[in-house]
Amino acid sequence: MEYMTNRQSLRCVIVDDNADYLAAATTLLRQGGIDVVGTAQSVSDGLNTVERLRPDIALVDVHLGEESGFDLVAQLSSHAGTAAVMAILTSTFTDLPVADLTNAPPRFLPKLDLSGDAIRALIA
Amino acid sequence: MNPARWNPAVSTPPWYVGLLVATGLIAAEVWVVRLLRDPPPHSTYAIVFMFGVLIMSAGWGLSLSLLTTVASAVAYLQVHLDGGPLLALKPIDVLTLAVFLPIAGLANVLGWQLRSRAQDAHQHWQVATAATERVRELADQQGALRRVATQIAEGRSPADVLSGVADEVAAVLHVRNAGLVRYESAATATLVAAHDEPGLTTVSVGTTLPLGGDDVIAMVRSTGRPARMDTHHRADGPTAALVSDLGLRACVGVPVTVDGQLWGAMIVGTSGPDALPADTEACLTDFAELIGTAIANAHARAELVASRARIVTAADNARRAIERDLHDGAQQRLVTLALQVRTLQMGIPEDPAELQSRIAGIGDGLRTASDELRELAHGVHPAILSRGGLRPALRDLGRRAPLPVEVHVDVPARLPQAVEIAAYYTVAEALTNAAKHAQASVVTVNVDADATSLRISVADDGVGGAALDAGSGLLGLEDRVAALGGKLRLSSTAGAGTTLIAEMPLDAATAVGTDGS
Repeated sequence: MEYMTNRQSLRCVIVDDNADYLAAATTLLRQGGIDVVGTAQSVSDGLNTVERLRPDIALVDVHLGEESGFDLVAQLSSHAGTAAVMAILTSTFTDLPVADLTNAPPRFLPKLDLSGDAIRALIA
Repeated sequence: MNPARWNPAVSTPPWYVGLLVATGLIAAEVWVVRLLRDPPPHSTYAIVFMFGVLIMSAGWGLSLSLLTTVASAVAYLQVHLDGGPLLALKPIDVLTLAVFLPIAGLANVLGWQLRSRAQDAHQHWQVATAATERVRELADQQGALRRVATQIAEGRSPADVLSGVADEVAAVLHVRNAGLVRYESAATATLVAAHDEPGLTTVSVGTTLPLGGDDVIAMVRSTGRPARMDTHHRADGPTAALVSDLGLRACVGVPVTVDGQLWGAMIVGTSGPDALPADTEACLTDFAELIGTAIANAHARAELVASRARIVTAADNARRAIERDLHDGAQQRLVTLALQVRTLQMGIPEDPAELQSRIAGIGDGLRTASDELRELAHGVHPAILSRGGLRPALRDLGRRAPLPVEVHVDVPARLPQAVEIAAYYTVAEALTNAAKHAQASVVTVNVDADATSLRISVADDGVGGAALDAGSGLLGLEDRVAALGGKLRLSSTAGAGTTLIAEMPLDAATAVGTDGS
């Protein structure tokens, strides 16, 4: 894939309801060579941000407060403008059975394993 | 036997009928005597006149039969003398009369005696029959009451019991309509059970009846006592109109009381011209008491089921809240700290001050995570309560509260665990409410105990107006206190502050479920 040829070109949006995590993850991924272009804290916020910035990947927390990250991923894949964005679900759980929880299993990355290399390995 | 059947020994036709019959008989006798003009002797004609005397003695009273005797004697003389002067009487005529009159008089007296004895006997028989009938009716009533009581004891649903009661009442009181209404507000009642004779206009169960007019339902509502209306002629109001539409004339209603409160009324109605018997109220009241018991039982059962469901739901919600707190709080924080550590690990900053500040940040995060876990554990169960008992735990609660709290605890060092926990959460919830809603400046907590019970009072000087409803969190407390056999009371007048009082028994029976530590 084209963005594999240039590591700096991977653009990412992180959606999570916890501001501390957003800050820590942004720092970590930037250090790992991922360009974090934006963050959001809710489903609607995430949808708008991804639509506006058109990143390569969207890291979406499964628990967005009372809302569900699964819903956001489903909406992203059903919108023409955001369907090309690769969604990756994240969670504080390390062994979330994502395949059992959604029909079209998106990629899943435990938050504790988060790194630029892990993301690149996942989408390879 | 049908006591209404005509019996010549006990029932007498009117006097004018007797007069006509006597006149007719004597006229017929005169006619017969004239036919038999010959042969002699004439004195035997007197026998013919005995016929009428006997009939009158058997069928009418003494005066009418005596009159017949005298009239017969006169008729005899009249025929015999053929209209001639009375002085033409011969000795044989005098003898005939002297025989006729005493015999006829004797027949009169004997007939009268026989009739009065027969009347006495008939009266006694009527009394005995009425008594037998009454005993049978009472036995029917008792049987009906027993059947209803059995249904209640078996725990049948109130709907079944109530419709059964309406049928039993209608059968026992021989009335066309029997119904049970429940009072809803000041202005309406709803029909909750009914018995209607087949083929008549009926009111379906569930119909709402307005209480504005002249009807027994409204009368029972306003007086709380039995009420009767012998006619609905000229009665006003929609319910009275409905009663008339149903073809009912007389109605009786008695109150149904549940736990000391007027709940509804049992009503019977009849279409006949007569008023309902005087003992209708007493009989209906017996049934109304059973209905009250059935409804109170059903309420108690429903309340028990509801409170069980609330307790289970509260426990489920508490676990869910703990899961969420752990996940969104401490775990999220630890994950974030792990990411920060990995960031450092991947690229240690050249500047020692920068390194130091970032490690300090991670240390602070770890301390916060630890604090959060400790608070969470305290929320699950306050360690100070299990280790130190009620007094230190309540003082700790008072110190943690966001407003001034005076705590007075005068109880033994340790109480049954379930009581300690219930007391702790009662005070905690009351303090939370006082801080959140009451705008109070100070809260006073008093806890004391005697040999048999623990008494908790939490009083604030706030705005008042609190209620024991689902939103206040007090309902869960009420369930908890009730589960220990205790009671929770709230007095909260707007502007006069709120006082929550809980009493819980401390006797052996409540020690079940405590570990005694």
